[in-house]
Amino acid sequence: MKKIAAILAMVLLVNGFSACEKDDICADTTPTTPRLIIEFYLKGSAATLKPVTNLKVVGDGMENGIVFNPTATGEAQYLTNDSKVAIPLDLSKDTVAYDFTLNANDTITNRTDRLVFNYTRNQFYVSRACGYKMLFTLNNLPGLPSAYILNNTQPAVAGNWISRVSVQTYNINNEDETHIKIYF
Amino acid sequence: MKRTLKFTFSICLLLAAFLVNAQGEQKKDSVAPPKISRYGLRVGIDLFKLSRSFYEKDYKGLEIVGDYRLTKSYYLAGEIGNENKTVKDDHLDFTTKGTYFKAGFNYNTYENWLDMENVIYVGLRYGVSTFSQTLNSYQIYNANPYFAEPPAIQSAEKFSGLSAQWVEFVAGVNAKVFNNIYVGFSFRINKLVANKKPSGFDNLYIPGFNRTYDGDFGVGFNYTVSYFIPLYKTKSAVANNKVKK
Repeated sequence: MKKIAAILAMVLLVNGFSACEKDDICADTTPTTPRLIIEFYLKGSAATLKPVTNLKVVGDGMENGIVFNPTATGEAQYLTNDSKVAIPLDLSKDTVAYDFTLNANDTITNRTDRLVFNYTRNQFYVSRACGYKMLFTLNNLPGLPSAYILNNTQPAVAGNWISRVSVQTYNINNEDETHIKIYF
Repeated sequence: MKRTLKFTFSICLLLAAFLVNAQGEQKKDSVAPPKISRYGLRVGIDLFKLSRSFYEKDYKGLEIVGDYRLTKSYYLAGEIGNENKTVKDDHLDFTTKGTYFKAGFNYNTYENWLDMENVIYVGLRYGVSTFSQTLNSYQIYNANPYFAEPPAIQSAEKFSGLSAQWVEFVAGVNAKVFNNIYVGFSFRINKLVANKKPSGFDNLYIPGFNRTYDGDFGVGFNYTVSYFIPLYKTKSAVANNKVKK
């Protein structure tokens, strides 16, 4: 009798344990694959942040822009008026092309510049819950396509609204620092 | 909540099992013949690992357990085993294969009456495992998907020559069911003391240690059937048996 009870208890305990497994999710605070952090500055000034006006950023071949404002509805969610944006790089290619459109909600005053970023990718193990992350290094070697190309011209000249692009750091390892500065 | 209930219920059942056991003892009279203690080697197999190998297609394991009675209460104890486990997580799919060996002692806390030969023990082990890991496939974690997500990367990269060492705290029971056959189970709490990790991956499962968590701790369980090979006997004075309540 007591043996049966003991065996029953054991079976239940084992059940309890196995039900506890697989409970971890990747925490938001864990640094994983970073986005490219771009800050906008006033043309001719080294340190004056300048917010953009209704900027829309659309990846090459993509229908919709990057969502900057998830709470908004319709076209407004793709627009930003901030001085800082985070844009994802392509995980399956060493290059990504984006169209940056200023005043995107206005058919007359809108201006578009295309920026291509060239980089190399490296994978790093993070944890059981998060798996691997991808880190990027913007190209900085002769012979490779340059880190950024503005409107398919190299070396870059001023674009339709962008006056100058400057690479702050070639290593894109986290989202805590600014990687690219755009002056306009 | 449901799990907590289940757990509480299990604990109650366990306690009940022991209580029933205790009651059984009291019926015994104290007019006892000299107590004969048998010493010998007990070898067994872990049925938990064996049965899992049948019903879980991502798992294969075998564990042989053994203990040797040194003194009245101390047993030299150990386990040797082999495991092959595939884990399929959301972002990782890997297979760990390897062999382990654990050695240590058990201390029997149970005062047996007459010819009873049950063991309720606590013990310590030192475990060593050598293993390899194969990363079958993995996914790049991307918190901000915009472009089409790349499919899981089929890797098949093998990390060999891995090893780990740990200390294990054991608590368990071995009950004689008939003649020299024992059934038992034990719970284990493990703490890693050495862990040789591969570069670019982690030891997420260690044979013998089981799943690793963020810290150094792990848990284990086994359910054994053993056979006792008696080697020699000792007689102890009758008086010894009567004192304890």
